[in-house]
Amino acid sequence: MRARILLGGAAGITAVLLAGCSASPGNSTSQDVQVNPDAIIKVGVTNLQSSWDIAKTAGSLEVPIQKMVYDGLTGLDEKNNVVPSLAESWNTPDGGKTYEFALRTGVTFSNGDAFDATSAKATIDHYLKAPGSTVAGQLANVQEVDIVSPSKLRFVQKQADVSLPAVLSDRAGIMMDAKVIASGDFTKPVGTGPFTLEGAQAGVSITLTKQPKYWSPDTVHIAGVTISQIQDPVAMANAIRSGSVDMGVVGAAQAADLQSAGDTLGTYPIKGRQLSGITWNPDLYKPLADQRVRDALNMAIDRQGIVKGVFLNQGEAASQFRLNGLPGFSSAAKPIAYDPEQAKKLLAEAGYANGLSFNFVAPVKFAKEAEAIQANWAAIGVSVKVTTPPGSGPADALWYKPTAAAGLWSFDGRNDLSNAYQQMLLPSAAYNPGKVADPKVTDLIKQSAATADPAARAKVFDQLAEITSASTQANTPVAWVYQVVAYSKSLVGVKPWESGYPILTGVGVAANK
Amino acid sequence: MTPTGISVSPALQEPKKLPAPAKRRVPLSGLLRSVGTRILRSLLLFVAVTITVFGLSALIPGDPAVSLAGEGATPEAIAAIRTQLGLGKPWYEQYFSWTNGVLHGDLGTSFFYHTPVSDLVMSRLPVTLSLALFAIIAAVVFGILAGLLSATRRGRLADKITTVISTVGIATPNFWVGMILLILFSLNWHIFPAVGYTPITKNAGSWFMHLVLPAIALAAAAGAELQRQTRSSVSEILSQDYIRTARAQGLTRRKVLWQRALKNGAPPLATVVGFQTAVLLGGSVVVEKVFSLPGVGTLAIDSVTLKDLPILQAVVLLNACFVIIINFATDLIYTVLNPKVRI
Repeated sequence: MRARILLGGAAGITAVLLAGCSASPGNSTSQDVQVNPDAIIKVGVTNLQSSWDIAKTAGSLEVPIQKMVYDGLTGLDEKNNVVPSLAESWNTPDGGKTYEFALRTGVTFSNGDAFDATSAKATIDHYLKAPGSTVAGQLANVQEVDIVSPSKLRFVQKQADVSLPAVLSDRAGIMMDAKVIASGDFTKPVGTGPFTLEGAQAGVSITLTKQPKYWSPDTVHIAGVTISQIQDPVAMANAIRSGSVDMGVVGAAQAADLQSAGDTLGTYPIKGRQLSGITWNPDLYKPLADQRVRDALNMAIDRQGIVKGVFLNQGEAASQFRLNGLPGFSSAAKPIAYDPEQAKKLLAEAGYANGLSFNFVAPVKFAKEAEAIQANWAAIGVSVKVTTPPGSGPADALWYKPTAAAGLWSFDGRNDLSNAYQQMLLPSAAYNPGKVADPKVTDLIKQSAATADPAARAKVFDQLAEITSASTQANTPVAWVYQVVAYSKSLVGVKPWESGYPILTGVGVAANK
Repeated sequence: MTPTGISVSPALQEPKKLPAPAKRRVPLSGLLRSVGTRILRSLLLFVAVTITVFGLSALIPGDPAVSLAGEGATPEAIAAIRTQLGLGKPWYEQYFSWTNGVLHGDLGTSFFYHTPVSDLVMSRLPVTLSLALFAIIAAVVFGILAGLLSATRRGRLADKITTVISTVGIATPNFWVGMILLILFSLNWHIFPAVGYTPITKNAGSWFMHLVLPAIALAAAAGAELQRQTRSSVSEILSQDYIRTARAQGLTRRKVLWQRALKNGAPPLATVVGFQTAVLLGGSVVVEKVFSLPGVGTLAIDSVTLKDLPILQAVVLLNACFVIIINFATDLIYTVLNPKVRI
């Protein structure tokens, strides 16, 4: 048996899981599978939880793990749509300035405390005020949070922004117990999520067991989860092949190997969670202030070649900040096409017929992509010196202490498209160090933040996509880089969730495995 | 009379017991002075190491506050995190604060995990020590036995085979050996687990099984080096006159080999073992990564990626301390084995 599922003592007791269904029982298929409710799934992740105090956590990649123990006010469905969670519904009476969230009643934390507006307010206040809070940035537009009633919470924002429900589907909406926040002891997390923490070794593994009083028990089909940190993609692939873990994220090369390893393993890509793109900084290299120069450089990038040669087809060319097929993507938008000859002409027209030379930074994981772009640009007479510092080095060099004229970044796609545009293209955005501005784009982004009507908002996004695809702005998408999840086929109900990994809602272990 | 008819003097018929090697008594003061000098040197080295560790970790590109702040962080949020981590202070203040903590047994708090670094390191140390111990035992056993085999059968098939093995062992990177072992014994034959670790307190059998392949991968180069050193050292001693004399006086081959040749060849071997132990600790970083062992090496790599400076500084300091202790112990053993160095 390739996948070694730890079976509990009561292995004979089984439950029925509708294979292919997710949290909502209505999504069932006709294929019923007996699952073992005592099974424990072993999952491999590249980075474990850094802290159980969400205000101290380092980034959104941890959210799926956090949400095994905690719940958010809002959540995301498989296609990244914002859906109710601890907040059953919400409304904005004034076009996005104020939001009222109706909280789910009858929900208790794992320590027995009731979840209500007091806990919710204490949590948001903690995120806003805790010293060095890493979540405060997500809530920067929140002016205050008021308790309307035990089951109703009101957010007042500094400016109208309809992306708040989407923002609250991330770390900023994860709810903690008011008593725990007051105590300051987060070593034993107390949440309303489907599991509770059984044991943990920082940076090594955590063990979770099913919370018996979970408010949505029908979505949990296992007794627990063991999550191990395996950072090396080759080691992860070996762990999956040998059955040491049942699920894990692997690189493109390992995915191809695993797919050919036999029929005991399945794979699926998470397509829209990792976008690579380029930041341009005219402050450090003046020619980049010229739209024609940026367009020429953009035009010289062979995106299809990069997807094929660098990412082994585990990705797709990008010209928009939304993946094709997800809400906000405009199929009418026409991207700048790959055309090296036209790029040379544009450079000459801009007065740089003899080429350009600047420094270019990239994350280690995109080193090969950076080399491919370097080669593309060399073909039009542009020379770049590529560096790939580890960790936060590229972010520092691009945005926070700029030293690189341009460089590649990795972006998680954001839960709300307006939010993504605000952070990438507004002249005041942290990710726009050269303050590249297009008044029309700026105006549309502000409209997108203040437009609550979904249809009207979609039109604004269409316009934004058309403009930003056809002209090179402060940041330019290059490729969506898929993350490939490989899993044992003894798991049933596994579905590709665009919102991240691992999400075990609706997943069980076949009883006969 | 002997069967050949040649008379042999009674003195030669009963081989005289060889006198034990002369035990040179070295004055205790000389030994103490030697130990004292080495302790002083080690302390100076320790101070130099703390400065180097602190200085080098500051050179790693990137700001830890940026890593911690996550996506979409504003410059203000990053500045607040920097202040909270104490990264805004002048470097010398940070250094003295860190050194003061180290001297009081406080290695600081992890930027990323928000737990005491000493707890993190202590939780990982058993894995690395188990691996290193396993590996050094494997290397010594293989290296000395194969070296003796080669030395006593110079130029013959056994010598040629062991020499080829050791050449391959030295020339092959340990991560590559690890990957080959992993593919064969874990993925193909399912004999040993591919990744992970079980504490000995939890399941001794599983602990052993998880360490076998990584330990062999780590021990390959060290064992090969020891085989070569043993072969060279013992071969040279076996060609000495006093060995021939010992044999002529009737000492068995085994006794000559173990009591004379190996004993006299031990000082250089002790140096090699000490050096290789230090190398193994460094090499464990790569091997731990290949087998995803949650040891100190993996912690070190993670801390570089996350720019978790307190962890990185503690791990490098710990490694440096191990090397200082190993060097000190090697010097002492060498001094005991070879009294001439004390003078």
